[in-house]
Amino acid sequence: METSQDHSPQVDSPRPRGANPAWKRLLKPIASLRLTVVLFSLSLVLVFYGTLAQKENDVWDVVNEYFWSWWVLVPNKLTLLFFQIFFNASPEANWASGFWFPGGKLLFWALLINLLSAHLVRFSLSWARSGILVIHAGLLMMMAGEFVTREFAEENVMTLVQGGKSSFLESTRFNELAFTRLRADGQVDSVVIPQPILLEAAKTQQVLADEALPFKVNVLTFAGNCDLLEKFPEDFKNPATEGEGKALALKEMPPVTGVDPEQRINMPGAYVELIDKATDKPLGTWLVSGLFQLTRPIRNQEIKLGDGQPWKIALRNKRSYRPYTITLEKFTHDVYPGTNTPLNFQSDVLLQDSNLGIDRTTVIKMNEPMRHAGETFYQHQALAGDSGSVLQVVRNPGWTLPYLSCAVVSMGMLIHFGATLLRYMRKQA
Amino acid sequence: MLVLAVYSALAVLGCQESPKIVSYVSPPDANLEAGPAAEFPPARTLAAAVYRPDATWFFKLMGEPEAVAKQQKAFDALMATLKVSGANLEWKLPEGWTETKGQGLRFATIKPSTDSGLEIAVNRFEGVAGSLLANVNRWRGELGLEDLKEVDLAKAVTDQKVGELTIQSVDLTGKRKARQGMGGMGIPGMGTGGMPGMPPAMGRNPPPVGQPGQVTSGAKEASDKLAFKLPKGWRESDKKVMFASKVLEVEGAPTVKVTISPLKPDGNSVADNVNRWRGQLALTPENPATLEQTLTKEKTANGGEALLVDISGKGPMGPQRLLGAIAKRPEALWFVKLTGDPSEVAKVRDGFTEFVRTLKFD
Repeated sequence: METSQDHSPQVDSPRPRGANPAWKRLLKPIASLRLTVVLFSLSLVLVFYGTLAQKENDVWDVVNEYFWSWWVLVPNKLTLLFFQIFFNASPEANWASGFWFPGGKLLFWALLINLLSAHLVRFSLSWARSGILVIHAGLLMMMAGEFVTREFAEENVMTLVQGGKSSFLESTRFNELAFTRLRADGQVDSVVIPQPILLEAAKTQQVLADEALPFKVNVLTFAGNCDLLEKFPEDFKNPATEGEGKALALKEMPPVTGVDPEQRINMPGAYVELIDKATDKPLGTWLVSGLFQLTRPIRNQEIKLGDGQPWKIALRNKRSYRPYTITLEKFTHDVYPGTNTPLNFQSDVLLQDSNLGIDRTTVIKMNEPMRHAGETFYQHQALAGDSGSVLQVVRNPGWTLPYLSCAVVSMGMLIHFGATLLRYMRKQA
Repeated sequence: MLVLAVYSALAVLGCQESPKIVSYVSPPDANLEAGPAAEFPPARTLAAAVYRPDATWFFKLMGEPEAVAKQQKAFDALMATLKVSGANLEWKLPEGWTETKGQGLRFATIKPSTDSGLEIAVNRFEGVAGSLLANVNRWRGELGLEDLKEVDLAKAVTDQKVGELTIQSVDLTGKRKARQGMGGMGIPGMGTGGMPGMPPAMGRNPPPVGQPGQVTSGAKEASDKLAFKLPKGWRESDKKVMFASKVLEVEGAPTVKVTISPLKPDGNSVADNVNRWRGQLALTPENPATLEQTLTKEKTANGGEALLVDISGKGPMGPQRLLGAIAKRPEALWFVKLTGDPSEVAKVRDGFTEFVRTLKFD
């Protein structure tokens, strides 16, 4: 019986060694799909603990500690808490200490390198693979969107009383110690010290100075969240010698947690000693707090120096001034009859921007924001007694990226699964 | 890809500017510092509460003072017709008035005959929906009025006997407050100290109704006669807790809170209150008939005794342990309640027992 020899080329024969360069061999372990799975699993664990941590910490602290860090020390208490809530673990248990875990930054970079390596080592440019490439491009776009939002997005509020106008926005996350003084031309000289500097100064007891201020600033105590007590606690020695603090005691409070049912924000407070620059003698110690900013009119505290205009001192939400002015002409708050349940909040505002030649009235209400100069103004809240309106002002240059990335991922999936389906149908035919 | 690479590099390096002291010239704060005073529209509320063993009923008429005044007689007449009908209440509508059935907690809505835009909201809650003091203060809060203290409650409330029912009503006049926010981030919350001159709340929801347990003015007076010795590390707190005459804190145990509350002796049984505590920790109630016998006893300073409770369960914010001591006195039923994180409560348990032993009722 004759046998025929097959001379057709061997499709599955190994490639010559020269076709697989050294860099590819080096990258191969980094491009491993197993590594991808491990990294995704670690990401899930990180999200799990990051969510649990919000029970006891401020949500932005959690974001910084867990997701925008290289490593995070996860307290064992969180694991215990989970078992106590969902599996009735002994409430008497007490797990101290914690374990180090890769943070969001580390996992992000590891995943990015893993993904790019996989493309370099494993994937080739071909129509059959185009769907996968598009999906991955969409995922990268999503990550870029998160970065742009983190670095460049701003969320502020603008508070307007009925008939009042404003040209500045206030942050609800960041605070500043402001010294202000009325000028002869009716404008205001402002010198502001951001919260991180105040915190550091309180820690190191470093005295702060600025050429625009006639005094030096010594931050004796800084509390990220505080309460003010009318009744002094026993053994309380009041550091305040001037202003409102003479009748109030600062009490440090734990930070507002991410699960706070009333969604409050931290109210900072501090004792600030001012020292005369010329004589180096103390001018007095003031109690300043974000709580003073809630009064209407705002409780300002004055520093009188000689015969000139007095300086005012305030610990307030961080402000950013804008070249436009918004006037609240009318605020409407309708409720369902017989209840206090809101039916409609509406701000009739006048927007004036001389740079752009804009002078127009418009309405801001629920689901109908106003857009101007790259910012979006949402109707946010009502002031007590409907005496005014709070607008939430959002600027996010990356706001389109999540939508675009979802569209790109969807397109990639359509291409990939469409191509697979077509191949299958051709085979069937 | 290039853009991504740039962004990523920035993410590693951190492109946010380090904070520094800045100075600038800005327009004056005309908006906030010299804005017009808040306008609060005047309003009046006629409200009544009816506590039944199985449910609590509220009737509320709120509106412009003049419009409410015109309906006051009819409102009083309506209240005088209340009577029990099975598990519910029923009433007779004044002539020309209409009634529509409510949904959810709203049992019914009653509208006067005139086109005044007024309505009486009738709400029914299962069980005890907060104490009278808590509910009166809720209504007062809606009108921007300060909270009443227990001692002033009796003066503010009119008790009316209608058949077997006791109707407790208030007539309040103030200015309507807008306390509702629209969700989202929340405007700066208030501290618990309550500085004078500050709005009671900005953009926050009305306070929740407090715990059941009605404190009488007599019991409040009795609280002045209470003496005790604080264990080491314990101190009196400045915090105010509704119904509690004293609030204590323990050093090194931030989650632990101790309240001492005198409750009206009649109508408040030990078993009911222990079961209320059990309910707060998501535990099933014990048999009221035998519950009291199961509690251990501890001697107090003046030869009296207190019944001790030690339960653990799930609180609203996670695992919680509660230590309680109940002293039955002629002038009041005294409740000492210690709650907190189980690990912290375990540490202060001995101190709690020591504290109970020092309680002295003169």
